[in-house]
Amino acid sequence: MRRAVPVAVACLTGLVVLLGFFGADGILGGWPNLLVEGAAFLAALALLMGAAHLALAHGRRALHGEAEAGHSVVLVIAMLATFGIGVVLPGSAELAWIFDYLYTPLQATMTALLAFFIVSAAYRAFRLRHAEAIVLLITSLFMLLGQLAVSERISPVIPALRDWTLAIPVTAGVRGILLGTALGTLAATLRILIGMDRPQALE
Amino acid sequence: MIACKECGHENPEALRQCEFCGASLTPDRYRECPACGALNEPDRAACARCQTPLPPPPPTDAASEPAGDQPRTPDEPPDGTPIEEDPLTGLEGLLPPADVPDPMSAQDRAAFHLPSDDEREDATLLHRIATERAPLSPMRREGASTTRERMPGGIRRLLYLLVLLAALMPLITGRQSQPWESPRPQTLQLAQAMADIAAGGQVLVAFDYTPGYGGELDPLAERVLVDLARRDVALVAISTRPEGVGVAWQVLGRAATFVPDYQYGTNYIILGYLPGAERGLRMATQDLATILPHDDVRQMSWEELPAMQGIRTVDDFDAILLLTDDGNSARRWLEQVDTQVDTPTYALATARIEPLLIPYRQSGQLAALVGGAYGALEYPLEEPPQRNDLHSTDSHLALWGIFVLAAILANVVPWRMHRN
Repeated sequence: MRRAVPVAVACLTGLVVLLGFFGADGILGGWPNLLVEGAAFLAALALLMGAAHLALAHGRRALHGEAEAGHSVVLVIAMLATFGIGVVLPGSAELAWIFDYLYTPLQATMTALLAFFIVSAAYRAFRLRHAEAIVLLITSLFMLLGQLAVSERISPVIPALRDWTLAIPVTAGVRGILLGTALGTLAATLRILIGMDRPQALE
Repeated sequence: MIACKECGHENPEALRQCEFCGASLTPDRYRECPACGALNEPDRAACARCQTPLPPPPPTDAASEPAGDQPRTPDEPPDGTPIEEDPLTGLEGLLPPADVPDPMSAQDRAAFHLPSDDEREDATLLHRIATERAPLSPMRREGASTTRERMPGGIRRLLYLLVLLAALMPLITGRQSQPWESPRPQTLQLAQAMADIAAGGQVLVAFDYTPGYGGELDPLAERVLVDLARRDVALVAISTRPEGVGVAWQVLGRAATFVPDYQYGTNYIILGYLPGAERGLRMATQDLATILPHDDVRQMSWEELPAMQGIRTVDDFDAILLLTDDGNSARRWLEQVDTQVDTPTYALATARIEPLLIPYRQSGQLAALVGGAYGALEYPLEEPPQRNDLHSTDSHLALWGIFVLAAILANVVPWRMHRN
């Protein structure tokens, strides 16, 4: 019973939502939407609990003066300030200030660091050691050169080759990935719906 | 330690069973009574419990070795003095057998069996899976060794310096690269589609990218939005990512500064964050007004917002403009929204995910697909904004040039070093 009930609930819920996707909303009433709203609500609640737990854990670390407690203090203050302003003053200039002058620069910094990693990785990855590396290098060079504004001035073949690469081999690969993902999703869904996989069960 | 005869596992001496495969370790030190199963000391002639005569012990390798080389048993004193003879030897049978309680019931004994070959094989396999490190495939191993190979210090410093210079490129060039570029067909197609939207039309703009990719997507987004705003098209922003609302705030705010009298609420609004991934998008397609009944900035209802006049569902918009740096997010829009409505979808994507969306463009699900950096350079705009909004595109193009240089150096430098 302890195992059967969660499996039955999961199967039924999944089936109702799935049928809703296939246009059975009229027969099922508002149940598919209601279940999805419930899932969104649960996810929001889980996020809130996770944030609260994070704040508590770091607050405890800061209070006990453990190693690197300074980082915990910064985290707790930043978290509470953002949360407080977001709840009390939604859509305010203060919230915009946090987004514009804290979040955006930090995100941009993290992304900018990728440039150094990619250059370093490019140096290692483009070494010609075997046949696959030659194919990788030639394709990458045409793709990169094709992005450059001057590529057409160098040779009209470069952008044409870039477009051909994107249209034929890349599209073939992407189509394969998309089909594979769809089949995998279908298989995983079926396994959960018929109770073979039970991620929700209390084992 | 006692080595198991079955699997070779080294066990502590106190154990009677191999802790790995479960095989009995006792025959090395004890003799089992054939009648009652009790364990007896190896030098006993009869079972201590039932007095059944015990079979003679099998000759061991150790016994056949010369005395001087014979290994010491755990019971033997370390100084080599002989063990005293058991004073009770030979007195078996003089006393009636004591009623020794059997510590193991018959049920326990039945359950306590030696593992079969199949069980040992399973246990061995499980042990290997649990403890062995996954073997690296030949390709993977090669990659790992490549990663350990260090880039020459001078080359590393040169490439990193060039990356820094690429970041400063706009200060040096000032969007000099723009005249070099001739617009690609898909960019012109997008521009034509935007031009076909009549004045007073409404466009749903999905800001599904993070500020980290703002350098690549912001210039193109600003150009297209300024183009629409100048022709008095209302823009309604939405995002399936929480940070997308902030990005919409930034980009629409900047675009509005280039168009006189383009006001929030009247000409453009931000509806806010749409949770629920696939199902959220499907629900929004069916009844957007119920899902997001207020705008995100002023919390005003749709009736109070002129930009939302006449809109009930996604189908009522003239176009969907999808700005994205995430293939999954783009797929969700195409699968859950585009399939349900007649409104055409146009995607502005980062170079990273542009190839992932090409099948959708070829199938016609995407009415147009334009990449970030080059799209901003190519998008035709009468009277471009006075501010130099294409600064970051020069940096991107310079960076791609550095990647090309890194690829060349990666092969030239080792070859030169090898020659010298």
